[in-house]
Amino acid sequence: MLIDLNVCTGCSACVVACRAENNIPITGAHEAARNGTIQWLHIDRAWSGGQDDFSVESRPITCQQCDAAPCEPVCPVLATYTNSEGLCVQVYNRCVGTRYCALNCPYDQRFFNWFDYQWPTPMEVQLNPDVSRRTRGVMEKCSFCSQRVLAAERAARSEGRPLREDEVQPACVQTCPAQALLFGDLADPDSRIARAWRHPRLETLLEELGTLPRVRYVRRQDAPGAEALQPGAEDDE
Amino acid sequence: MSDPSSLPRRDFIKLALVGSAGVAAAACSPHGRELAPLLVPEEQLPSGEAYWSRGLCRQCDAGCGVLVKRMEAIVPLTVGGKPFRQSRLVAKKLEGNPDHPLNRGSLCARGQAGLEETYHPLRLGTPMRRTGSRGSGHFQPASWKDALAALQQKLAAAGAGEVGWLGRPLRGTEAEVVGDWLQQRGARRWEYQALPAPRAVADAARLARLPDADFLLSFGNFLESWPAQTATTRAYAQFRRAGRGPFVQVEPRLSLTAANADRWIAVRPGTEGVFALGVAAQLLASFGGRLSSGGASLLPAWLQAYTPAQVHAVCDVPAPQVVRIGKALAAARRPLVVGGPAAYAYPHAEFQANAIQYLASLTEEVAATTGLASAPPEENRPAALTPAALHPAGGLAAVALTAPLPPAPRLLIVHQSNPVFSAPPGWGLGAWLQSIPEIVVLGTLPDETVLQADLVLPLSTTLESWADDERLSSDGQPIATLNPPAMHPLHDTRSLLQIITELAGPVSPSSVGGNDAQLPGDAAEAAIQRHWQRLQELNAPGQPFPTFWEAAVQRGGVWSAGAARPAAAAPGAALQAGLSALAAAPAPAPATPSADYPYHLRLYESPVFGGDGSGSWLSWLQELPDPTTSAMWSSWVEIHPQLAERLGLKQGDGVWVESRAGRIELPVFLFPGLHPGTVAVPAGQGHSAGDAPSNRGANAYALLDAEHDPETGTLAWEATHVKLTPSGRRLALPLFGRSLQQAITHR
Amino acid sequence: MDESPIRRIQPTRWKYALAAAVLAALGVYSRVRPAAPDQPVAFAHSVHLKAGVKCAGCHRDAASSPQAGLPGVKECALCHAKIRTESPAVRQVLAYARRGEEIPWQRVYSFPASAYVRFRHDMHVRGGIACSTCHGDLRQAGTARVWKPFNMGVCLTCHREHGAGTECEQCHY
Repeated sequence: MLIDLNVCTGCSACVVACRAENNIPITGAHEAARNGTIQWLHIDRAWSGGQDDFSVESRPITCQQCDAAPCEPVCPVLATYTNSEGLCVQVYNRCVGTRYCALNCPYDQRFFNWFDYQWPTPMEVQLNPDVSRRTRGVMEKCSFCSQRVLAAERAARSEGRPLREDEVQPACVQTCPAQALLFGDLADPDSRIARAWRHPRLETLLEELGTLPRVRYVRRQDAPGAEALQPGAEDDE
Repeated sequence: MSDPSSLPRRDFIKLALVGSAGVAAAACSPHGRELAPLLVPEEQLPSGEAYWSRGLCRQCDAGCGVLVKRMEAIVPLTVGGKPFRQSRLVAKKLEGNPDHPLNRGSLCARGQAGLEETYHPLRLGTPMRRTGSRGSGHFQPASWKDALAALQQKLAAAGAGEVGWLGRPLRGTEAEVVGDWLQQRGARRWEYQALPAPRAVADAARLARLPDADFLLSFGNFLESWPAQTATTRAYAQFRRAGRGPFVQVEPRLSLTAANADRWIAVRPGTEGVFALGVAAQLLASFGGRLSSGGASLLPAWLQAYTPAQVHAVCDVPAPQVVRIGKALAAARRPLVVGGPAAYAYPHAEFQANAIQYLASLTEEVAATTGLASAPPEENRPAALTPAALHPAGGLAAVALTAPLPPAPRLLIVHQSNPVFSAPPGWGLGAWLQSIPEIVVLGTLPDETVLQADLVLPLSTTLESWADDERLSSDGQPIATLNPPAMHPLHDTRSLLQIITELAGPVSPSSVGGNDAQLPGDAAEAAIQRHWQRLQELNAPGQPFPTFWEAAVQRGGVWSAGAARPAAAAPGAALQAGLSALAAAPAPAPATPSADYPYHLRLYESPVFGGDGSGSWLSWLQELPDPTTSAMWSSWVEIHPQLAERLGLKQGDGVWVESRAGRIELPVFLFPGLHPGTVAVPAGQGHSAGDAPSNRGANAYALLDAEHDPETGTLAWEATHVKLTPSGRRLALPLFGRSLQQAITHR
Repeated sequence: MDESPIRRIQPTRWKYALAAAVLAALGVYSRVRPAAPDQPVAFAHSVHLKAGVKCAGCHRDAASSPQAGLPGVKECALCHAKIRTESPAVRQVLAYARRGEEIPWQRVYSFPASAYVRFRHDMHVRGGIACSTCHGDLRQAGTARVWKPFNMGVCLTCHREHGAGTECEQCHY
């Protein structure tokens, strides 16, 4: 997945879309106050600058789907592993809730179900039947909407054709008004994402850890002419 | 925080949900392993195929098209007092309609969360009649037959001219049907918006040119709830991708829009107009005599008074910044200047709007006159719809409800509006409502206005109703969106069209529907078909209606084939008009804070909830961290760290924010993104009615002074000044805890 | 003030949950369900199949949907308005139909929630797996019963045989 920070406005449509798609429980204010909120995707906000150039930068952060995922080797029951498509998979039925993976994830993108959450009637009717309702004691995280990927693959197979590139879109990518998110198959060298993957302006989060994330960001940069508008720019008379 | 004893909330909810009490009972009963017509897996979620239908999002007034993912699910129902569970097709998720010209497949956070309204545990599920005193929340369920008969009786008793309709703006068939019905009754009709922005219409239209701009100077929060988040965000992304030039945002508070700008200019609140004129003077000065059509006359003497030093003194913006922006505007080929609702929400809105509009027209004029302007490539394609082909708004037109409040009618019908929550205390709306003998409220959730009702008619949500929408997009494109119901109503509710057609009397069988059995649902469909038949006659006269209709259902509506981008309108006339208005009236001084109330209050429309409080009912939005502060499940007051230090306030300290109108206690949030004399409070939280999640935080509308724009009469919601008194308490302010970048930066 | 509309169930019986999770992890799903639950109507698969009704005649969605599907009571009544109206079981069905009430059929095959597993009929039917592979020869049966014990071993053996893939997230998601 490629995320273009130049056009991401931080509107958070992706966050709600993720919640709607993946049956993410509402954990409430109490959990929010102690950092127990479950959000597979969140907008990270970085404040910078001082009085004259204060700014807030938004960056959508989700499971980075690392190639060398630090969460995987520590799982005693192999409940998380990288599958043949390169996806870091969380297998709920294997998970026994040691939370070692959460401890080892440098991106803080693994969420533990401390409780069983019950949806009030009739909100449970909305739940997506293609995604499990996680129970207490299970770890969860972004799956790149594997259920949507599987559904698209099934549709392609039953029609006897190869999967089209634009057919597979996780919920966040689908809903983005700025189309800041690009999702695709890196293994296919002709895909849009594979072509964009080596762009010089790309960055990876915590690259120095060598986790080899499969989520990269197009760095935000000032528009041409913006530097001339900076406080203290040279052209003042 | 809100006082839980102020309203008998829980009692009310119990009563409000009487109709669905059986539903709750059904849910509590241990679900056995019985199978309905569809197999039910253990976790009672039948997995099945998704069926997609197309519709309309009405969470805000933008009018985006949606795809509704529908699947079979076991729905708890009550029939004849007996709870049972039935397999039904229900909406599971919303996505943007990829063909719709406004949102092109995308959907904003509010739109995504709109699904929750349908499944909300507090939904009004049955008609109700008031039994206790107003506001007591004592209601008794009634049947639709009785409720509508009671309403007919009230209508007859009220007599001509004594019926009032107060609601949100209506469009399409609803506008026609309701307008006609009210006209026949000789009723009066008011429209209510919590934060009205009648002057920002021209700016919304200008935003259509954003993708081609190479310089953007904005005074408005166009990336948030105004005017249409999906469309403007797409335009903004095109502007950014083209990478032609910078984006400068001028605002007293760093909004989400300002956070995306290359430069944010923290102007003193209310001086945006002066800033615009200062920039205009610089723009003209930097051209000197190079303007071909008498540039000198374009720089009149009065404008020369807006020197950078003067702008600095008034607006608190460094003088060189003004010069730089003037120069950059002069150098741009396709510059764009847009205002916004907040910049016009002052008593001197006329001046602010004239000044910003003048700068906008001047910029275009300069670019055109100097020959720098290059027209963007035309992409006009033949339109399937023409603007003239939309229905003129028929029936009774609405006027905005504002102070002084109009003479009270004998019967007031309120539709999907909550003025009790958001009207400024100084309006005296409570007393006005008390003086109205009969109040009927049509709504979906038990809000503050519903508590004042004598008769409550529960509405189906858009997902459960026939509905449509007609509008011109900001770039002048006609769009008609069609919304067939995606699912059966979950409760004993009806749509607005159903209710009005029933009240208006028997409907003649539609010639096109071919269905003479006029069930209530069919009446709504028939009304929409009649409306759309005229749309077809105007736009596709050769086409048989069923073909036209079928195509509209398939596509989600009718609109022109390609996106036509309008060229910049000739700015000359607008420029001259703006000039004369400005020359006639010198800059009025914005109200200076008094010693008693020293800080300007920026009451901002939360980009997450929207301003009117309707979004704070949705737990998906409560759980969503605020885009600039990361706060969740609460409201707060943003205070500049320097000011906080002076007042001895720390993050999370309770503080009484007090205006002439009222006071509320809020936790402090230290936010450097403010003009130092400004404090900011998000609007939309703090419902007194309703249970969690709606009653979080405090209602900022309690602070609003009843100041108005004297020309338009609309509320000037940026005219409130406040003082801050520490309450000595610590208040909970949950912030979303995971901030990776912050952690890295501070390492 | 209750902050969340979603209520949390406080940890109880967590040892049991852990045990179940461990069992699940080992792929040992002990069946606690009766092999043949009591059904509200003594439906006879044998009679219908012998009369020439195909499986997909009633379980219509088997090839197109995760669920094989059960016909509603109206559909039963459609045929049985004329056919064998004197049989006690059919009378029962018609009584349900008259009341407009669905027959509360009991589930035969199911997975514990902790298995987090998704079974799709369509993929199996389209893959050419005969109904009887899992459901047995219903020409001899009355109401359906668990014919093949369903555990991960059974699934995986068959998946390996047919090269149907053994990635966890193919079924567990």
